[in-house]
Amino acid sequence: MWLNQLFGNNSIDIAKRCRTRMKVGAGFMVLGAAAIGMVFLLKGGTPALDLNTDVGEFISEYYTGLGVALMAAGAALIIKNRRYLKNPQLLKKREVAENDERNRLIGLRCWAYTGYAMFLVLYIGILISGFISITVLVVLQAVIAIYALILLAFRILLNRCM
Amino acid sequence: MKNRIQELRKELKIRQEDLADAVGVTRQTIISLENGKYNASLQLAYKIARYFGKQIEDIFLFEEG
Repeated sequence: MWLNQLFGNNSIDIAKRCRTRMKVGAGFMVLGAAAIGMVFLLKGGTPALDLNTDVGEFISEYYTGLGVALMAAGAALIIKNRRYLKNPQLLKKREVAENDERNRLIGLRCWAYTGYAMFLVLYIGILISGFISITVLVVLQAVIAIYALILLAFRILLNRCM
Repeated sequence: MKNRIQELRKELKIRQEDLADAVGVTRQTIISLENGKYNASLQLAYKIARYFGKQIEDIFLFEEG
């Protein structure tokens, strides 16, 4: 079952995972190129991305920066995983590290604690933003609601596959 | 949960690295197990017991409470 494949405590086929990560890296590079391409394509100014205003200029720089960062991250991901695939000794070491149950538990707990912290930070943000901006308050409330929904969805999914 | 990994390892003059390689974990995991900071999963406990040629309960000592 695909749920078990995704969330189960299966051992990791590291070569397959490296190849998948290289594909993800290529995806990052495409997304980065798309972000940069969008800035060039919309340089003339559109209703959605008016580059003639200050906001437009900021957004153009923002998207360029985002695109370059994504492309760099994608390239780094590809180079790193290609290195693993080319060196069997390094690949074996990586396989042990990624399959290690303690490392996996630490990884899971890191995500869990980060999740709790995120919830708390969002809640504090909501409390404070009420005095500053209603827009920010509504946005933060939407984020916390979506976050709670995702949490619930994962609880249901994990209950089914464990 | 206490365990006798360090005791058995030293008795047989096995390095932490070799034990880690044999059971497919990192050396850090063996260190954490020996220090009692981490409790092994049933799967890892079984692999360690099999490596030493013993039963799980001979290596991992369950303490009630």
